[in-house]
Amino acid sequence: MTVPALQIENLSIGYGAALAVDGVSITVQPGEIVGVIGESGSGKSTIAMAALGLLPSYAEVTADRFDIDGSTTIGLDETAWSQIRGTDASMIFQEPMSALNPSMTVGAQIAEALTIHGVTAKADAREKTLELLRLVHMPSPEVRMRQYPFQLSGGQRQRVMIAMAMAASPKLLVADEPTTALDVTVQAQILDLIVELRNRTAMGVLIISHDLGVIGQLCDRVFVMYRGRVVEAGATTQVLTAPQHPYTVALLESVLAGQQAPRTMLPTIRADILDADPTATVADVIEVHESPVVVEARAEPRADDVIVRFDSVVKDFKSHGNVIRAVDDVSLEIRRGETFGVVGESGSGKSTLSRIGTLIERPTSGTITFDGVDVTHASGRALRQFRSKIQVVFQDPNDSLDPRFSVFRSVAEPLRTLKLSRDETHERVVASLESVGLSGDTARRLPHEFSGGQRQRIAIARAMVTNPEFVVLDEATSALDVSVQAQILNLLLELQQRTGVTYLFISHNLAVVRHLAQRMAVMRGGKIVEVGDSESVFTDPQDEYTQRLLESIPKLAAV
Amino acid sequence: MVRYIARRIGEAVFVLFVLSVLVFLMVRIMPGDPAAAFMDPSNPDPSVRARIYEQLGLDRPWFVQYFSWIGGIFTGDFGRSLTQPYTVGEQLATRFPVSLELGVMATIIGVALGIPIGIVSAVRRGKLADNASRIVTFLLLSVPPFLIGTVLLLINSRTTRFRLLGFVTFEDDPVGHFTKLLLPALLLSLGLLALVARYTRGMLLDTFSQDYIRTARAKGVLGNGIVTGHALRNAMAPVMTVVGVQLASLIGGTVIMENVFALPGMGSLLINAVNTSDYTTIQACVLIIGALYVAISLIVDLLYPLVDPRIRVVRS
Amino acid sequence: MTVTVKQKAPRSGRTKIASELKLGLGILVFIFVASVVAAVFPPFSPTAIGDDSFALPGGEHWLGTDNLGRDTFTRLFIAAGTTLMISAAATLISAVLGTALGLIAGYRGGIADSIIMRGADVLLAIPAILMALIVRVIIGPGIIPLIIAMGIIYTPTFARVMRAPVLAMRDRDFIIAAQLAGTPAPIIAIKHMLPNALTPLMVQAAITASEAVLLEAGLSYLGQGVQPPNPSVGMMISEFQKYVQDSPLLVILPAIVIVAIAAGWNLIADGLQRTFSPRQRDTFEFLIPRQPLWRRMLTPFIGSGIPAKNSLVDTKKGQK
Repeated sequence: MTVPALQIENLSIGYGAALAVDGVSITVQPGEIVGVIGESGSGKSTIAMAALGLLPSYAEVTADRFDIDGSTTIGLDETAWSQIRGTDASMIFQEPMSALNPSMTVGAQIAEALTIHGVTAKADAREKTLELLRLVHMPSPEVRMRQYPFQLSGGQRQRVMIAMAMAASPKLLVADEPTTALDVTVQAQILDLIVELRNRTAMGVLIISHDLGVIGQLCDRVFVMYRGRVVEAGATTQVLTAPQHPYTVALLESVLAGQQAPRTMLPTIRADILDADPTATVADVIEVHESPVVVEARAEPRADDVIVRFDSVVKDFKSHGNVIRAVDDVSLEIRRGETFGVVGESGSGKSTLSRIGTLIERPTSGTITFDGVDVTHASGRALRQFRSKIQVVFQDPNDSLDPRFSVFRSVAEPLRTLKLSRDETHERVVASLESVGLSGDTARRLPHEFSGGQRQRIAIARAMVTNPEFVVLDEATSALDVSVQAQILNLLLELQQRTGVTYLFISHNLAVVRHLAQRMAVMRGGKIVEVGDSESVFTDPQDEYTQRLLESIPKLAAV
Repeated sequence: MVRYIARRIGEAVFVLFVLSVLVFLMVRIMPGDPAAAFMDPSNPDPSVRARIYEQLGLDRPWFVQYFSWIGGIFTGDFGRSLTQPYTVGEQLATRFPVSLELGVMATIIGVALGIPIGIVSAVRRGKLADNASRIVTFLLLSVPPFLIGTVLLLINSRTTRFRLLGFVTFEDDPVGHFTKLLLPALLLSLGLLALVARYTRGMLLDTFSQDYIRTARAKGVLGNGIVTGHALRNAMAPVMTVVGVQLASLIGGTVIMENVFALPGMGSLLINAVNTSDYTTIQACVLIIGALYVAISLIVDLLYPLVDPRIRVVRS
Repeated sequence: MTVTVKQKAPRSGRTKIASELKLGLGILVFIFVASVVAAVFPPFSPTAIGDDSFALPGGEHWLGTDNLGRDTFTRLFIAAGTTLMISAAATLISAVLGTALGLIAGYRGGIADSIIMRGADVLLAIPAILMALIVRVIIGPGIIPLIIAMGIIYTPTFARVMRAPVLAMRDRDFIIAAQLAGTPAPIIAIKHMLPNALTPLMVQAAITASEAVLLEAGLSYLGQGVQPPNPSVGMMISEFQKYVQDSPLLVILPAIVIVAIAAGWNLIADGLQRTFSPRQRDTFEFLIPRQPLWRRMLTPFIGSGIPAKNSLVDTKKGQK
């Protein structure tokens, strides 16, 4: 009878009146990879923190059983915990940049993990550190050892974290969203690394994620969490192919695993019904939407009707005496009424491109044409004219609204240039809010009173209030939960059907781009490596990088 | 990093230059006629005035005057006092070291005591040690530098009657020299101490909530190791910036403290000069005291790279 | 990157006002009222010399009299009012000037930024007392020159305090959104950036006011601040030092008043800080060492006494 790496029974964690985790039981056997999947508010991260005793002092934790490698952790004080952490159980975190000490060299931080628990004497620490770095496939370990975190890339930093976690050969590795902050290609490497380490050491791994693909690819068993409770658990293939609980079903349907026809409405989860009645059936909870009814069907976008054109656009930035070419000779045509997708990882230049397209940045060379007019150097009155026709929706709903502006003021701001009367402005704002599914009387409130999804709706309302012809969506759904993302994508689709607006949709998420865009381009290092209509790019990629990108997407098991 | 050092030194030189110009202009844009002090008011003879101007060098164009003044300073000639029978240089020679020692001692005491207090306060947040030190530092920040000294002296004169005042030169009595300076330096340091303690506490608290502290805990590092090994080095950099800024106050405080304790430093010289309108002395004092501040804050700035590795390393 | 729903309860319109804020305001209001009384309806004229010198408090003279028989209450609180007014005026001037300069420096960047920041560096390099003395030498002694000098002295600090958040906000999405909306730059600066930097500005204003109080007290003590016949708290202390045998109250009362005013401003600063940018309530219990200090000091010599979990021999990889 093997001792489980982790055994939790009936864990509850509360902060004051609210319960973040309610009666959760999880077991991880040695050599097993167990996943916990959930969206925000599900309590999954709280469980990860609890596993290493890292919850804040005001959290109330109760459990029938909480064993790591057979020994109980209930009632342990900090000193006793420090014996367990790093040796029996280790943890890696989501944001490797902030999780590493910025003032210590990477090598010193790994060496600390070695010397604290007496794994190595101080004299041997350097050798062992190099060994660990090689274990995690860090290129040029001798050089990297002496560098500081800011000098490493995201993937390299995560490798350092893993090296630190592996230093004392733990029995349990807890990974809290380990690849969420990484590019898709890097993510694939890190996930492979985790599996490789598991195979080598037979440690148990607990992975927390919101990404069904990651969980599906890696985990032997999975626990699905919703609002602090485990709603479904079992073998991964079982849960992902034949889900029982309505929430799991709905989650899988929202995920865009390729079974949904492009540019149709996604089914969404009726959270209110699920909260009210946890035993509701699948049919009650999942809301299927009809494609929006329009008076006259929109014609397909035509190749000769181009609304925005980029011509040999180049953008250089000066940094510390070097010149960085963010956008390298990009030429694109965006047709009126279509959704054009741009896919790329960090550093690909896609964000810079979007800033140029909205005239926030000027290209170093090349031209931008809007509706036949060269706007590359537009300024003053000419520029203001275009401001009402071009709008942007940003990634982070927390950041894109002024926290001190009421919703009304934020949404009304783009109307300034149109010089409308007070009544007209009021009408337009209310109409815009209603068109995104919010009632007019929310206008009085402040952003922090709304959820992330609602704030994104407000941002969309602001973008649409001037009836723009061209809207750039810069990672507009990337910061949202999967279930909320489905709602927002439906909203965008509906708005486009109604108004005929053109979208430039920028994302690192290929599935979303495929769903929404008729045509797309793939960017890398400032250049466009592939362009064409979405289906062809997906099913038959020409460029080697595109192929690699597609392969790196974690697949849901057995789909 | 060399670039950083060069830039800092360059900035310091620039600041000194502007300071010297300001000081130079200060006297010359005053209303009134500087020659008036030397003339007989009942008999304003223009030729006499012209001769006085020539003597004082006031007839030459301003930037010639400036350069001869600056030139003089570089050779140690600070001019003659207008009201007393000495050269300013003589006075500076004996008085400057006193002010320097006072300032440096106060700075060292303030930082050396302030940081540990801040650390204890942050680690034991909400407990007695923290609350007590917060109240004490708060009061220290609300008390003008001269007040504690004055009150202390007054109490002393009524009760214990230690000999706190007075000054002994280093040559006469090295130990006594420092002990006499210790009390004023200590009192002078209190403001800096309180500020350093507060800022250290604040910066440490912010640091403790950072992700990398959580990582350190997850590795199994214990309390002391976290504070000394991880938190401090990240919290200290902003604290040093604050120290640099606060030094100006501290140097200014030396002026007052010298008055309270009757120490023969630059500050007391300056106040006398202001009271008697002794412009050459005023100029020299302001310039030197200002230069003292620039020098000390430059040293603090140069210590910065020791604490923040990002300056040390060339970005790859 | 997932958006986490924050756990705090929705803000219900009333922000809890820190007790320091109320206390500080209370003290300053009290002193203000008392000073108005002393200025407008004084029980005795501040300059009236009487024959009842060194009287004790209670009775006709509420706080006693000084060496010349002048009423202490009247003089003290007129002086207090003067100090209060000087600190408020100087803060107001430097806050307005400094904030404007900081906005321009941060938002425009480039040459304007360099010039303003260099200027700030130079001004900050001159210790406050020296600056005040320089101005006093040029313009002459008195209250107005004092306020002007302080206005100059404290402006660079406000410029810096305003510039930092502006720089941080420049790249944030809601500012870019405002630019996209066509909002002109000055409006963005005033309507978007300023309100979001309000807390550090207000806190700095309170801190500056308390510094101004201490500076004025020091200068008056040296005879270079508020000039007679206007009473000033600093000068009262320096004047009455010699009478401490006859009536220590003459030194103690002004001392208390100075500290009260400065403390009042500092309390307001702390209160504003706590009310508008509260820190998490985590007390970091994990940091407190369990061993008493004397035992910890022995650790470098005799070890920590906590047995290590893994010995130096790593059985998986062989003997070391």
